[in-house]
Amino acid sequence: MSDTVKYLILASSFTVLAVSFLIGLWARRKVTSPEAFIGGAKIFGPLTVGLATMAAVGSAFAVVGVPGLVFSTGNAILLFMFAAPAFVFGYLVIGKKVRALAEIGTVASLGDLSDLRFNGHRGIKLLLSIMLFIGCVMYLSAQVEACAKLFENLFDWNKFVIAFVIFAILIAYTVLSGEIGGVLTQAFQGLVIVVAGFIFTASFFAVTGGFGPVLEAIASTETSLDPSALTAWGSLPGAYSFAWVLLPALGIMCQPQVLTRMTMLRTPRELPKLSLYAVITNMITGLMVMAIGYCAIYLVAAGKVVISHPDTAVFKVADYLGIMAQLFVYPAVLAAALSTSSLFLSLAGTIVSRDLSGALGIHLLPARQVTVSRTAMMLMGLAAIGFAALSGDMVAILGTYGFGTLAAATFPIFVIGLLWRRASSRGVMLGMLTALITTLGGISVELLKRFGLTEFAWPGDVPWYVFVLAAAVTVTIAASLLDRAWSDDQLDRRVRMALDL
Amino acid sequence: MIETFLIIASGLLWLLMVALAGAGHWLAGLYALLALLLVYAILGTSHKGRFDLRLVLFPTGVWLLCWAAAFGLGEYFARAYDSGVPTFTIFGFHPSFAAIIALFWVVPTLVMGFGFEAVKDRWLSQKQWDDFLTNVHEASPDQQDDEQA
Repeated sequence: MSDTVKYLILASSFTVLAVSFLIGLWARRKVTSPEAFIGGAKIFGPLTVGLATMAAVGSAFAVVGVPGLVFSTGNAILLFMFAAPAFVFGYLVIGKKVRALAEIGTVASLGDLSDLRFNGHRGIKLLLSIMLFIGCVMYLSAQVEACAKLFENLFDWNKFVIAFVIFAILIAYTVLSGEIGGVLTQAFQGLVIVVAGFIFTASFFAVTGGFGPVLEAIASTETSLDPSALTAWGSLPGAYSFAWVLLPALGIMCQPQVLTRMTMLRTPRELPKLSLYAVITNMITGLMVMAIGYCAIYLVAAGKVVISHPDTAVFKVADYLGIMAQLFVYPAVLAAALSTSSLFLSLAGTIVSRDLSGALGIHLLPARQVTVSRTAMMLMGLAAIGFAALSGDMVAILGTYGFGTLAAATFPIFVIGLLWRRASSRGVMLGMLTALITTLGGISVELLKRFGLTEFAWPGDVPWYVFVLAAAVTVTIAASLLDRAWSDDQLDRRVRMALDL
Repeated sequence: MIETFLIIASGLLWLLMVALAGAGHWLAGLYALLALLLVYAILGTSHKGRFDLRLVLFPTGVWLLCWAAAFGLGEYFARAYDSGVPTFTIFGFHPSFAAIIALFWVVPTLVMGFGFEAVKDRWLSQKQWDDFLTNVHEASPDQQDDEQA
């Protein structure tokens, strides 16, 4: 790749960043209160929220990680990407209840929602904050890894320098405009991903002639690629297919980037339109990542490209396709990473400055909240860089860790809690405690395995976060049933109305 | 009572699903997942304690049936051609994966997306929402305290 092309790609990538920054500046005009800054404004329409949600859920996990796993292990991970009906399911099952709670009090964070449902229970809020923080670190580490791969591929820059620069810029624009700017910039970044999706898919058909030639190329060439990789379940153990259907099917509805966006919609009657925009844009992204993965398989099988690490597949394919593809794919990767990172950074700020401090009974003045929030964002950035370096996992695997942890953190409160009035504070707190302990156990086992200190294998090769989720849910239900102190009268009448809606 | 019964059923389905997958029967675990999704779908249609089974049947029921068919066909064709390249493809895809493309992804996504819009009024009518807003704003926290006292 010539230096001119490299700098053109760099310019197009930083154009996305600059436009995001300008949107953040423009959004400041809409920030009229501290609540609006951290996410309490019910002012957005379904298109904006749909694009922003897709971009935040998709993230670099989808654009970098999924094609990498398709290239190395086949179709199994596409089950995760194709589970788009789960978006609609989430809105259908809990959407109106979540949005209704936002009418009862100021809801600027998930902690506020939890307070409303469980009468300001500090223990639940504390555990929720800690779990969200851990989940955010893991999900952010996937974004760090993706950005590092992007710039390593272009300039061979140091991974840590890249991560620090990206996070510095991200923190600047997140601090500048808060969640209002965050939603608008994510919507713009979602649009970039969709445009790249169209261009890449067209390029894929131009290069390969369709999906059939990919299968033929694998069959007729001596490569390490296994033809079974292109069956429904890929070449990984079937337990991964199980986990990668379960995780989005039950987990999308309780991801922070989905839950918080529900409360920002003008009215819940726009949720069906929002879900339509989210799934259509998600389908375009799904088509793009499948095309990238298949294109990588085809080009390697045909001996046209060498891919040394699966996470570089998207860049190697774009480089082969030429300047047009490069000018859209690299910015799309950056947009995907930035949209999710900015959301999780602002979430981290809110967790520490609002939820965690509230749970500990510390009341911070507004000016102090901003300082604490910025510090939390920096700590979160550092923790994500550290986890990415320590775990050494691929982008997609890091993404699923984060996704699973966040689902375990929120499922007892926002799914069981909203669907079942009998879910008691004590039951949910015990469920959350179980989630925290088992998550720490799961991460520890994975890290020990990474350093060769244990050979422990999870039953049936099922990923650890599935056990965490199951344990959290069943303990919540059992403990709530056994809680004799529970009484329906403890619930605020207005909350009962929201749950009955 | 019915809500509690359904939640207990969901807890048992969680245990069954994970136990099946942990024991190596991950495909059976996927079918248990569909039953679990059905339970949550029923709970999600509850309005003032009443369940709306028509809303469960469409679009969610159709979606779950599509997924059940996708898992079955995906597994059938994966086993049929597990030793190598299939004798035929569908739009260039391995037949096992073509079942996923059609019945796991494209059809159910469109059914759920457009179906939800089609049943919007049944799911939440404008009147239900307006009534909720009126009642919530009338029931101020002060009133709550009075009532509880």
